[in-house]
Amino acid sequence: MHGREQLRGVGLIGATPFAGSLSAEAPLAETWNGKSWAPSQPPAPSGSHGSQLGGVSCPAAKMCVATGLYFLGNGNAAGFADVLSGGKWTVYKLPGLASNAYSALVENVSCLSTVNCVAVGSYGTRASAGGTPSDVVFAEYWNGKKWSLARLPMPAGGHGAWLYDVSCVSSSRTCLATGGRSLGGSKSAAFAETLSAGKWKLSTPYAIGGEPSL
Amino acid sequence: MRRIVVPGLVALAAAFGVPAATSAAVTPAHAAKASAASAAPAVPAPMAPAAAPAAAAPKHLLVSVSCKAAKSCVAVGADVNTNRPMAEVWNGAKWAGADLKLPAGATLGTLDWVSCTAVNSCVA
Repeated sequence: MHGREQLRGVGLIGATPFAGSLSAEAPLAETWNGKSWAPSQPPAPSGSHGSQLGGVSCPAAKMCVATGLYFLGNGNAAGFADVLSGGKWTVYKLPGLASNAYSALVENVSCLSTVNCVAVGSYGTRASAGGTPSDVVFAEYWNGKKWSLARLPMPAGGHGAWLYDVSCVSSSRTCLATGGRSLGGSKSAAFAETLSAGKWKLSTPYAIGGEPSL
Repeated sequence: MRRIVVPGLVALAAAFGVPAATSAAVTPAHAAKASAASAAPAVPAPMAPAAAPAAAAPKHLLVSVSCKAAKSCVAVGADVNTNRPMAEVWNGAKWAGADLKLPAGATLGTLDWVSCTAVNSCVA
C-alpha cells in the first residue's frame, strides 16, 4: 500500500521547511491524530548539509518509517530514514552504495509490517573516462532494527534505470516498484520490478503509443 | 518525493556553489525526474557533470504506484514526450495501459500520485 493510505490515527508527511537558506532544509513531519495536525522535526543524519523527507509509510498506529536524502559536504546526496516508534524518531543512514556511486535518491517506502519495510530509489554511477553516468536501481530493507541494501536486477542494455515508488501488499507479501529506464539516446520507457518470495524480477510495463518499453 | 526532492537537490547543490564539473549530485536521469513532475516540456539535466554528454529526459515514467492486492496495482505517471498523463494496471502477470484523456481545454497533464481504496477504485 502506499504510505499515505496507511495512516491509522497517526500520520506524517515528509516535507521541507524553507528557512531562508537552502542548506538549512531539514526533515519535517506532521502527525494527524484524527482531528488536527501537529508538526515535529525528525532528526537529520550527522554530517548532513541539508536533508529532506519524501516518502512515508505507517504500518501501525504509532510506527512510521520515513525516507529521504541528505547532502554530503561535497554536494552529493545519500539516503536516510527516520523511524517513529514509541513517540520518538530515530535516524538511520541507509547503507551500502557502490564505490562508484554518485548520489542516491531514496524515493519512497512501503511497509508490510513494523519489521518489514522496503524503500526504493536509484543512484548514479560515476562515468568511466569519457562515458555517461547511468542510474542503478536499489532497494533498502528495514527489519525492525537495521537497514540493509539490496541490488535489483537491471534491464539489459546498460543505459540505466530508476525507481520512484513502491507499493507492498501485506496479505501476499509482494511489492511492485515503478519508475523509468533509459533506452539510450533520447529514448526511455516505463520500468517496473516486482518483489515476491524475496526475489526481485523485472517487469514490463505496457508501452503507451506502441513504443516498446523493453 | 518527486516534487520536493529533486528540485531541492538541484537547488541545494547549486546553493553550495558546487561547480558543475564536480557536482555529481544529479546524474542525467536523476535530473530528468524533476521534469517528469512538472507539466513543462522535458528539461535537460541542469546539474549533469560537464564532462558527460547531455542526456535526454525520460519519455515514460511511472512515478507512483498503489497496490490493493498482489494482482491489482495501478501505476501512474507521464509521457514526458507528449506531456500527457499515463496509467497502467498490473494484474500480477502483465500490464495494461491506457492513453488517458485530459479535461476539456487542457493540452498538458501529468499524474504524480495514485491511491487505491479498492481493486476497482483509485484516484490519481
